[in-house]
Amino acid sequence: MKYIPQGPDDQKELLKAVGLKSTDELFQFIPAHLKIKNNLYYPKAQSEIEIRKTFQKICASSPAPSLSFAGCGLYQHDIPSIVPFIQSRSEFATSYTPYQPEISQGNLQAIFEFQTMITQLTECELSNASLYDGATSLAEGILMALRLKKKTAGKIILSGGLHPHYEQVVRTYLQSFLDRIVVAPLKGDRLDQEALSKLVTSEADILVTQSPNIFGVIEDDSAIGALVKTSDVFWVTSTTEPFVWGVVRGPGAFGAHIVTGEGQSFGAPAYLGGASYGIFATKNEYLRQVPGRLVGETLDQKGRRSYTLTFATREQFIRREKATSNICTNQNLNMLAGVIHMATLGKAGLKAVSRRLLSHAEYLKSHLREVSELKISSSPTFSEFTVDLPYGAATLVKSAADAGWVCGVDLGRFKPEWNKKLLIATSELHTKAELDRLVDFLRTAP
Amino acid sequence: MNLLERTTGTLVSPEEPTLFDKSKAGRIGYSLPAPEVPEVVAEQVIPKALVRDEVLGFPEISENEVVRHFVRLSQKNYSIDTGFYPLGSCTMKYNPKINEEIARLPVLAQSHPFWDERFLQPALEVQFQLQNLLSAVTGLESFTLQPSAGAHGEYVGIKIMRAYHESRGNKKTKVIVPDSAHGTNPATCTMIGYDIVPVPTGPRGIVEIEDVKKILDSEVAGIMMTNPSTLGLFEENISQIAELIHSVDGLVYMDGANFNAIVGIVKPADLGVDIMHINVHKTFSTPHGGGGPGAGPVGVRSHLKKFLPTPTIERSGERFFYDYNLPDSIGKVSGYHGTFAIHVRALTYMLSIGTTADGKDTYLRRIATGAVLNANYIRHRLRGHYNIPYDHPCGHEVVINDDFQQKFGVKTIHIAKRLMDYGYHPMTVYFPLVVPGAMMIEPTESESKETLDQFCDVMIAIANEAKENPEILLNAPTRVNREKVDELRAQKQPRLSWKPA
Repeated sequence: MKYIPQGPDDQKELLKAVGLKSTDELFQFIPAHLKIKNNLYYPKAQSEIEIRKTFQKICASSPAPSLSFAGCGLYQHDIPSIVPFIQSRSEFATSYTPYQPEISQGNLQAIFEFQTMITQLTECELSNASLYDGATSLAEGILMALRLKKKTAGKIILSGGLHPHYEQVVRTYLQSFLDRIVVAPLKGDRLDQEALSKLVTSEADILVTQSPNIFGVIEDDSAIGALVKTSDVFWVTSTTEPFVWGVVRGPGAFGAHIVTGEGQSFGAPAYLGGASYGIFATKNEYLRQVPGRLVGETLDQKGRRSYTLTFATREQFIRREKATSNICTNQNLNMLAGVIHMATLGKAGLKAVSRRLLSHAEYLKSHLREVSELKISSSPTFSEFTVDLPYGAATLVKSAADAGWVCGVDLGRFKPEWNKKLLIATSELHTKAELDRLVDFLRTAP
Repeated sequence: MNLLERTTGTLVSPEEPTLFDKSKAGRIGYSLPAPEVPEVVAEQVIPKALVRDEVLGFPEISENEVVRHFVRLSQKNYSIDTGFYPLGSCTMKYNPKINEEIARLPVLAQSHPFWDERFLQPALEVQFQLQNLLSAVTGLESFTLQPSAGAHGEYVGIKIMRAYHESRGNKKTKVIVPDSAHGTNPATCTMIGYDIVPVPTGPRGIVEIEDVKKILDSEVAGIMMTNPSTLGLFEENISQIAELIHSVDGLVYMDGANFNAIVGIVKPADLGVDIMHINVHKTFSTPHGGGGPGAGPVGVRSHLKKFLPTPTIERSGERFFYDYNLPDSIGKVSGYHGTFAIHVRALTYMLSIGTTADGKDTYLRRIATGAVLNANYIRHRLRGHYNIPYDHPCGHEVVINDDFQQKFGVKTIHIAKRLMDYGYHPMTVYFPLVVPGAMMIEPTESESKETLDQFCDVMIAIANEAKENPEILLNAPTRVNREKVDELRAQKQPRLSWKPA
């Protein structure tokens, strides 16, 4: 076995040293009748040559779309080539959690830089080293708010514009608090401020909003922030597309207590939603309630600037059943891709990409508004927006798929009453010809 | 050349300022094509109160400087590919490079969960095959790949336990957890609203049947057992304990953190296990990545399948699909379908370690054999130099402690830090909690006898240093990138993000 440097002679020597005759004796503590006797119905081992062929075959089993306008929480972006190049370096990929700071300064400094950039983007004072993904970050944020609000038992207001998957994950995590959840109504495609105001002032504990929301609409965080300030409500926000912060102020600027988000846009392709990391930022005063890892700057005994994991007394490996969360990861390698991507973009690149996304979406909107059967609301959006169709969006999505591409996401997949809504996400990768193709398709459909 | 010179690590690298120290106004690291459509300014379409002009403090660095920055940072990390990483309970085995190559295949990497399923067949097939192979090695009929990590898998597993009891109207309040368990076990139970009943480690280092009997009553929802335990010892009573737990309609959860010791040797289902998570970043070689992402698939017996998170992955003829129609499901636990980028790597590995060419053996078995043999070899070589509290044939890891060194004023932490001077990552220290001053060493199957011998020589040299010149140990490390990082100061004067000087 090429991954095991134990040849027959090595094995003999090792067995002799430990005083055993055969490898079977290594497992004498397992009752014989329980041991596997056959080969567990397991396929033949494949060499590298065969592995490549196996996966080529799997990948050829269906065609990849030639063009995609799918977003809805996961976005297609240009990944600078230095991102995978550095991310795959052995020293990053094959290291462990930096519990030993003396020989882990690389990972620790990268996390520290990530935390810094997240505070800058979200306009919050404090960021952790990341959580699993946007949905679980939001759930952890609400759980943290509940810990801080443990003396009261008021309502947990969820925006009606929350991504349905996020809402489902939140409900899974908040199983014991389901009777406290109320959904704040929308007025059209945006939170109804009047209704929200009533909810916030009537014994509510926690307000959860998402911007841009499921329809791509940017919520009025300025008004929400003003409302929150008049109450004792804890405000937790969620964002699925962090590029929005290239043109829109971070929720921290409006007084959000906890800001969460999905990090995938910075660093990773969609990967079926499986290369994510969760953004989690808050105020300094809540430091001790934060879930997940934190890295702090300090000195070593020679007075050199150094970094270390800190405030570990919040975490499960110290506090066990009294920990702030059971989490034991920070999706580090995904976060690393994120920090490299953000560093490469820099101040100018971030602004340029965000503006490009905005411009692409506005271009599409302006042309689609010329098609009389289609409705596009006047609410502000960023890179993604919803088209109200006179017919089912599923038909449209299928017809594009038949032609080998993806024209957007049929929101009817989440709720039947949304079945005429098509959510379209633009990317800086789209060319004008591709944007025009979508316009032509919608103009002539069905 | 003496041992120290021969083994000293290479983690001495140039000082590297932060991205923010390096930033200079006007430098750029990225470019876009010229615009093809009219450029919109945010103020034109977004209310002014919400618009920002720039992200204050964001770095401004050229691309090549970004590369140098991160390459230099990488050189400050110890990693498996640079040396032996004997972290107990972490299974720091070799991470095959073919896994990485396959994971970057564009068809898989670009897959979007909201595409029409016809475009997702490759991704679905990868997940389906991985589930099947996990079933083959555990004997558990159904798997979910949604959990993003081991602890997330525990969360799902205990949620399923709770859903099972609720569906049967059982009044259950607590879960039995051995005192040697990982911290995630009790933390998970708390998140789900179960109390913890600890069961002590018996004199043989394993959980004894009588101790379980003493605390068993009708309110016990189940037990969470790591097998082999964190002491590296196989829980020999697990089948009988499973029977006891089942007698009160409880469920047996197995924490698969240490599965590497028994993979291919025994199927957990045959031990009476009902629910189990697998850390694919341990047993199935996906990279640890400096702390994630991992993946924590959860397997269950067929009667628990209906509680798995939505959706499950199914096959109908040649077509793979997601099944969302699961009325008894515990719900969704992550945004999409779990850490798919890791699933691809795990499948690649599992396909590489199947049955041997003659069909008579499996490489799975050789993995467990190699790992267990290596750990026992270390146990033999360190005997006499270090105290071994449970000196029985061990599984894939061996736990020693600092009892022999304490009289010289040397503790576990000093031994661990001194290992760095010799070019090794320390073992896991002060865990499991049931052994004071524990040092948990897990060599994995990836290491050669020469590597083990050199490591043991170093451990013995350190034991001698403790006797003869303990000062060296108390001041260690002195030959690596940083010396004694002040963790207390980090907590007393928190600086969790960069601020201009």
